[in-house]
Amino acid sequence: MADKKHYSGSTGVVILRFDGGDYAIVSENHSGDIPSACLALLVPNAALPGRAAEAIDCLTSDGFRVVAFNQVGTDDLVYTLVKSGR
Amino acid sequence: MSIFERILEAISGLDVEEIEIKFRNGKKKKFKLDGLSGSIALERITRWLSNIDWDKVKEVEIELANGEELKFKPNGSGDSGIPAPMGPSGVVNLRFDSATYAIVSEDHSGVIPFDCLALLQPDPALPNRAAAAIDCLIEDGFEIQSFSLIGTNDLIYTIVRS
Repeated sequence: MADKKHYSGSTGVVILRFDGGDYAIVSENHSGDIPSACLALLVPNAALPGRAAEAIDCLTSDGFRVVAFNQVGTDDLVYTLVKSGR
Repeated sequence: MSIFERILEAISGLDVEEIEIKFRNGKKKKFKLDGLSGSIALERITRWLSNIDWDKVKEVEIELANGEELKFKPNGSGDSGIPAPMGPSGVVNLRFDSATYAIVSEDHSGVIPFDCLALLQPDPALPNRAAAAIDCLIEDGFEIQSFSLIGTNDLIYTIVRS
């Protein structure tokens, strides 16, 4: 993907699944340019409640936007955050 | 319409043999299609043209497979070429497993970059593919236009470049 130069900035995508009850991160999938500080927060761990907002805050501070969100199963939410680089 | 858009519109449906760009400093750049045609050729051309510094372009000559030649000149200093978002239109419907992030299925139409198509292969044995595929498309100017939960665990995103 290094040959793409359509936009001036870098792009990144994070798909974040978290528990809507305790906000612990259930799982995540990411690609592109993700700040290391945010990556450190994106660790799935049921024993760490209240991590979702912290991770989302870190990403949105870096220019990511929540562009999709869905409830999955009984309690989980899946947010997709994108930095488009435009 | 920028020179970039005018070129893409003019060559739509035509078989391009070669593109030559003449710069104001006298330098030239050539791009040969080597027999490629259709959407594959258009995708290659779009990608190549998107890397041109249009502010420095004096003239573009396009040689068609039938021997005809098309010429384009920038309209002026404001004609910097690439609109945003750029490129021909495309749509990808992407269904993925929200537990494993493996791609369950996909459907696409229009001009989709090859490297993104390579990532859009449904395979439950390949987890964590969804973000890479979406990132590839976003990098190429696509945007998530709609999203929905389907079944218990799957998500469907429609990703569009208009």
